[in-house]
Amino acid sequence: MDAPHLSGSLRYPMTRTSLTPEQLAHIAEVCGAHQLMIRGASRHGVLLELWPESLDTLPDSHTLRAIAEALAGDGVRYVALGLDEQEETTS
Amino acid sequence: MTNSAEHAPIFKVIDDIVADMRALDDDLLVAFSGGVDSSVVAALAHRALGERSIAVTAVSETLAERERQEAVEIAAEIGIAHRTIAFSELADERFVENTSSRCFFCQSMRFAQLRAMGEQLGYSVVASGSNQSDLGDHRPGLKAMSAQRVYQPLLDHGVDKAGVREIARALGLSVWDKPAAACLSSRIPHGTQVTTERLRRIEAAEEVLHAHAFRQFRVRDHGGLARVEIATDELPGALSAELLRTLNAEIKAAGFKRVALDMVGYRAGSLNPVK
Repeated sequence: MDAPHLSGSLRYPMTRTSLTPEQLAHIAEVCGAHQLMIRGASRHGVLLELWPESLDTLPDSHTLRAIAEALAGDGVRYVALGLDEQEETTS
Repeated sequence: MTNSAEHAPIFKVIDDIVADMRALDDDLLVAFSGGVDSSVVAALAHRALGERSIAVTAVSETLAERERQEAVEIAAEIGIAHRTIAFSELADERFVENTSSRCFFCQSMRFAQLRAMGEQLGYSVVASGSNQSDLGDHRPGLKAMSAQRVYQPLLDHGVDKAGVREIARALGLSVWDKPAAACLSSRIPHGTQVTTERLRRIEAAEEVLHAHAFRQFRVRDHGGLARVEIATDELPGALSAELLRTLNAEIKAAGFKRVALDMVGYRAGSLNPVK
């Protein structure tokens, strides 16, 4: 499912643990609404890691917090911005 | 200091605790981490008992070297006699297993060691810096201290964290505004074993943040992913792309595979069980 607020297509498998298309769409919608462009996301147990398109265009800390609060729940306890900007290889 | 300041309520609390300590009629060993809580207890013990008091820092795998060094410096500032005692938390499988009772096992070991040392040196009473703000949080370590009959003067006098800092400031202690620093194992989620490798990479990663002048933060270890919590008032300053790239590289060099910035910021006990 294409998420309009994600730049390009999702280039990575979305999961270290599985994110459903519905979960992905929700993440994309929330991030897009707050002007955070992400290229993907992954879930590590209770931690949701967002992969920003660029570290150069991050919203302010209040906005990051609002995104995290919107995405917490349903087993997600922590929301964090991954700092890698490079392509990942699947393992 | 004016006379009116000397009669401020905080000074009555100080006088009351000092009087209590003198009334113990015993020599006092303070479990001393160099944090503001134990520093206040050590300073009051020294005021009350002089040479009949001693501060002892238990050095184990979970104590960052920075904290150990600061403990030595703060003890010297207070003027209290200071020693260290070494023990191994990782020698106890129940600690390594890292259940929600981890702190109970750790504090049980720690205070048993301190009590044994106290008995050796002639200090019959062992004191800790537990305070009123520690109640109500997930603190199995308090149960261990209670079982060990540890003297907890701040708790006994209903002093909360703000009160501790006020006392520290009134006593002129440089640590009055020192950020809280829990042991390194608190960075590892329950259910994940505490290992030397994890502790050392956490310590090295937190040194990176110290080097970049952050004051309140934690590096939480999620199976090789470093989730960096920075205090909310410091978080805006962390959002520079250049700094984030530097932190990413340096924290990976410390031994982590991935680095992620927590989007809410530092919160004490964020790995504690959800109530």
